[in-house]
Amino acid sequence: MIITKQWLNEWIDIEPFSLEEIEKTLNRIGLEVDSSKKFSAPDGVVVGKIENIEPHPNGDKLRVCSVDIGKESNIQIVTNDREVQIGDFVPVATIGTKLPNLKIKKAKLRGVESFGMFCSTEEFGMARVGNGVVVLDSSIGELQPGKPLSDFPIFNDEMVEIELTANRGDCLSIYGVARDLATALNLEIKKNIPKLDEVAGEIENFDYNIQYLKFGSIEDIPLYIRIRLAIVGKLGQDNLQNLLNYITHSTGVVAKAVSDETPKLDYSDGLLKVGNSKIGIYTPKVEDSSTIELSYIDPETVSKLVYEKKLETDELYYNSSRGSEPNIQIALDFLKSLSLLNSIEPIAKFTNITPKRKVEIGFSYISNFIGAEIPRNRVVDILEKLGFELSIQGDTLSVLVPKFRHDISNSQDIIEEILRIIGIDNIPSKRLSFTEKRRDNTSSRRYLLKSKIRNRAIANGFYEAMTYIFGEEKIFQKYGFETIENGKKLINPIVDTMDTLRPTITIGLLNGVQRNINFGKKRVPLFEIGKVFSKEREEKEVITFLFSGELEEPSISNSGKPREIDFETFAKKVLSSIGGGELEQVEPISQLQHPYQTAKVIQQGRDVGYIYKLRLDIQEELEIPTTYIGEIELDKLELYTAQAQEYSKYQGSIRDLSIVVPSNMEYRKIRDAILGVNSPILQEFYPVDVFQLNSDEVSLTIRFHLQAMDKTLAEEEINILINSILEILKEKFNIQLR
Amino acid sequence: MVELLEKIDKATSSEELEKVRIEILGKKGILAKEFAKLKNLPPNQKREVAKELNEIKQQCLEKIERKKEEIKEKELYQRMEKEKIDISLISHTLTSGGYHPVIETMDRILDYFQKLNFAIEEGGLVEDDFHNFEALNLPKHHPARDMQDTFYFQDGYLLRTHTSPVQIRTMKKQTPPIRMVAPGTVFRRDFDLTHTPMFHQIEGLVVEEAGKVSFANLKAVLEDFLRYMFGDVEVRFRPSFFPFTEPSAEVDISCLFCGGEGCRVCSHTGWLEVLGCGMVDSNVFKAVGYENVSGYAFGLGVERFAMLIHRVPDLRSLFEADLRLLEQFRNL
Repeated sequence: MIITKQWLNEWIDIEPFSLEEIEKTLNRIGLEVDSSKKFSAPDGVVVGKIENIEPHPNGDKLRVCSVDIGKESNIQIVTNDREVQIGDFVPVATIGTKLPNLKIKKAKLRGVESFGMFCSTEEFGMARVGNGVVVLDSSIGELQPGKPLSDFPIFNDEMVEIELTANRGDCLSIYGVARDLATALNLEIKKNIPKLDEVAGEIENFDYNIQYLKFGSIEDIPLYIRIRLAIVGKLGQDNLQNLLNYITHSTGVVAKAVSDETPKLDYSDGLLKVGNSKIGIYTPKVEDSSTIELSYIDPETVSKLVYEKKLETDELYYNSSRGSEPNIQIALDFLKSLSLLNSIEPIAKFTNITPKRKVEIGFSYISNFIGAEIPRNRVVDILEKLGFELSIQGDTLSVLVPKFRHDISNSQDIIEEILRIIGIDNIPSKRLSFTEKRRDNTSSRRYLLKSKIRNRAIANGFYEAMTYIFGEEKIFQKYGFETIENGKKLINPIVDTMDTLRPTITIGLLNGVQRNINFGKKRVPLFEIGKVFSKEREEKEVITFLFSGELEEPSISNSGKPREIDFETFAKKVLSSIGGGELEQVEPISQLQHPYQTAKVIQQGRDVGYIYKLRLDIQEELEIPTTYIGEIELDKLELYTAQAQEYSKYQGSIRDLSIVVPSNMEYRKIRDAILGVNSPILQEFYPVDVFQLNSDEVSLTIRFHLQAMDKTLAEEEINILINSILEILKEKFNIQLR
Repeated sequence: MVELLEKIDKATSSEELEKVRIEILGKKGILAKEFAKLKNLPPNQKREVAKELNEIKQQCLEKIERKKEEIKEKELYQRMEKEKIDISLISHTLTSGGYHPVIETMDRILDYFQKLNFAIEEGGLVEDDFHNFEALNLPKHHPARDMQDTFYFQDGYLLRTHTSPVQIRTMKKQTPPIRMVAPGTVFRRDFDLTHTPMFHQIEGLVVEEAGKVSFANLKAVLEDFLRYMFGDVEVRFRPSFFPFTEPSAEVDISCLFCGGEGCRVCSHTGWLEVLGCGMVDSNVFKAVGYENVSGYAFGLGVERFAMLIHRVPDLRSLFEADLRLLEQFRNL
C-alpha cells in the first residue's frame, strides 16, 4: 500500500508532520513502513508555455519552439517530441538545471540553438506519466510561465510504502490509513463520512453492499490524478479505468466497470452474482462501458468460497478478500466531488448490512492484560476515534465493531487496538512471577544428551554439518535405500534433486566429502544430527559420523605424510563421542558397508548403530579417499547418571601372557573364553601384541590387570588364576603358551 | 689447602669429582697421608696440626658437597637442554572440530531460556493440517496460508512451516503452567539468496492461569533476551499481525552494523527485525481445550540470528558441509 503526503492531506491535515514523524507513527501503530521517498522537481525546472512551433530546417524529427518561461523574451527550444502543441504548458529544464542523469546546457541541434529541454516526469526522477513530455494542466495549480515546478505540491511530495499485515484490509486506501493516523496523531477526517446503516437485504447470510451507476460521458483525467496513479503503479491507458483505480485507492471501495446490462442479483451455492460479476471475486473486463459497480462483500465469505471452489479471481479480489470499504456511499460522494463523469445516475442497489458485532470487555481486564494501568478515558478516546461505538456500564465496556474492521471479533482484538495506538514501547516491562516446577523433562534431557554428544564429537575432531533433509529418490535407491512409498510422497518438491526425504544422512555427508575433496581438502571429518525417514515416512533421529582421508594435518611430527584414518582410530572417536560402547563384527546390511570392516555398536546392552568402512567400489566411484562412517540412532542412546562404585585400595598386578594362536582365529573367541573364568580378581584384560610366527600361527600377547578388593594379591593367587586361564584355552582351543 | 680446594673446583663431572674426592679424602689420599705424618710430630705441635688438618678436611668435605650439588644441577640442565625444541615449528594446533554456526546460535539462544527454567520441547517434522494451521487459528481459506509456501505430501500431511505445532502438541499433552521453548527445523518452498527451503526456528510459550500473564511480561523477557544475545541494543516493538497471537508485535533491535544511523544491512532504517511475538490468541487456547488461562508466545528465525552474529553472507552456504566455511567456527 503506497500513500503520498499530499494525497493523505486531502483526508487529514497531515501537512505539519514531517516524513520522519509520519513513518515513526505508522510503525508504532502497526502499519510497517517498507520504504519511503521524497521527490521534488529539480531547481531550474519551470513552467513554459509554447507560443510557437516551427519545423526544423535540417531535421524532420525535430521541431523548433518559442517558449514563454516568464522572462522578458521567449526562449528557443529544439525538441524531438511530436505531441506538444502551441498553447501547451510544459515543464522546461532551463540552462544550468541538474536533472538526475543530465545537466542542461546551451546546445546546437543540427545547426539550431536550443536553450533548454522539455521534460517528462521520468526525467526528473518521478514515476512515468504518458509517453513523452508531460503536458501540464491547471489541476495541479495555477499555471504561470516561469513558475518553478517544485512550487506545485504534486511535484514536491513524499511517499511511503506500507507493508500491510493480512488482517488490515481496511488500510488498503488513503482514507483507511488516514483514519488510523487521525487516531494516532489526534487529527480529524476532513471529509464528511456518511453513516452506514443496518439494512436487511434479499439474501441475509452475509454482508454485502453493491451499487450500480450509469454515466453519460467521462472527462480527461486531470494530471494530478494521473501522477498519483503513476506513483502507486496503477496508471493505465483507459480514462474510466484510471478513474476507478483512483476511487478504489482513495476510498477503499472496490470500483469496477461492468457491462451495460440491467443489474440483477443472483445467488446460488454461496456465490453472489450480478450479471457477469461474481461479487468480490471476478468481473470480466469490459471496454467502453458506461456502468460502474461499487461493491463490498464480507471478506471471509469470499475467501472461503474461492478456496473451496478454486475460483478464478481478478485483481481486486485481493482487496475484497482482505476487507474492502463497506460504506460505498463514501466512494459515490468522492466520485461526485471529482466531477469527471457527466450525468451520474444510480440504477440499482443491493444491500444487506447486519447488526454490528458486539464485544464486551472490562476496563480492568484491559489494564491487566497489557500489564499497565490504562486510563478509562484513554481507552474510550482511542476506540471512538477508530470508529467503534461504545457504551459503558460499571467496569464493562460494550463495543460495537465498525463494519470495516472484520478482523476484530473478541476482547483480545480490542486490546490490540488500544495497545497499538498507545505504542508498545510506551508500556513499561514487567517481570513475570512464574509458578516454578522442575523443567528438565524427557525432551529437555534428550536435548542435553544431544548437546553432550555434539560437544564430544567436536572435541574428537569432527565438524558439525547440516545438510538438507531433502534428497534425490533415484540416488538413494541406487545405493539400496528404501525411500518414501507411493501415497505418502512429496507432492511439490522445490527441485528434482530434492524430491524425497532422506532415508539416511550418509549420502548427504558423502556429497559434502566430494565437495571438500574437490576443493583440495585432504581430510574431512564430519558429523550431523538429524532426522531420517523410513519407507512409511516415520521419523527417526540419528547421528552420523564420517571421516575421510588423512588422520591429521601434515606437520613435522608426521613428516608431512599423515597416515590415513583407520577403523580403530575412527571407532574410538565415535565411541568417545556417543559415551562409550562395544563393537561386534557383523556382515554388512547395506550397500555402503565394507564386507570385512563393519561392526555393530552396542551400548548398555542395546544395539545402537553401525561403524563401517565405505565399500571400495563406492569410494572409487565418488573419487574420495578412504572413508569410515558411523551411524548411530539417537533414540537408542540414554543419558544416564553414573553411580560411584567401590574400588580397591590395594596394590594391583599386571601380567602379560603370550600364547600361540592359529592365524585365522578371531580374538573374540579367546576373549569370551577368558571371560568364562569369571574371577573377582580379574579386573580387565586386553591384547597388546600380535605377530606372525609362521604361515599358520601368530603369537598373541594379552595383558591382565589383577587386583583384589580386600588385600594385596599373593604371587600364588595370581598364578592360580593365570593357570586356570591357560587351562581353559588349552581345553577349548588347544592353545598353549609361546 | 688452597690447592686442594682448587682441585675440587676444577672437577667438571660427577666422575671427576669422585676421583678428586678419593685423591684428597680416600684411605690413601692426600689428607690420610698428612694425618699419618702426625704421629711423627711432637705432642705440642701434634694437636695444632691435627686441628688444622681437621679443618682442611672439613672444608674439603663441604666444598665437595657444594660442588656435587653444582654439578648435579649443571648435568640436569645439560640433559634438559638436549630436549630443547623449536616451538615455532608446531603447526595446526587445533585437533578439535567445530560447531555449525546455526546450531551454535541455537545453543546460545536456548542457553538463555534454559537458565530461566524453560523446558525444551521438540516435535516431528511431518505434521498434519490441524497442528500446523487449524489449531493456530489459520483456517484453510486464511490469506496467510499460501499453498505455494508449504510442502505437501500425497496423503495430505505436510512439512511443518514453523515450530508452532510443538506449542499445540505440548499444550495438549501437558497442563498449565507451561513454560517451554521449541527449537527445530522448518520448511518453506523458497530458494534464493535469502531463503532456503529448510531453516530453523525457536518458539517460546508461557501459559499460566488467567490474569497472570501480561504483555508487559512478554516485553520484559524479550528485551532481556535480546540484550543477552546482542549486547547493549535498543529494542523496539511494532504492532503486527499473526493469526495465533493477539495483540501481536514484531520486535526490532537497533542496527548492529551502523548503530542506528542507517546502512545497507538495515535498509537504511536503523533497525533490524529479529522476532515475532504476542499474547496467545484465545482461539488457540480454544483449539487445545484450555480455559481461564493467559499466555504469551514468541518465535524467531535462527539463521537470521546466526547471520547477524557470525555475519555469514550467503544462507545457502550453511547447508553444504563445506569445511572452508565450517573451519572458521572452530573457536566458538
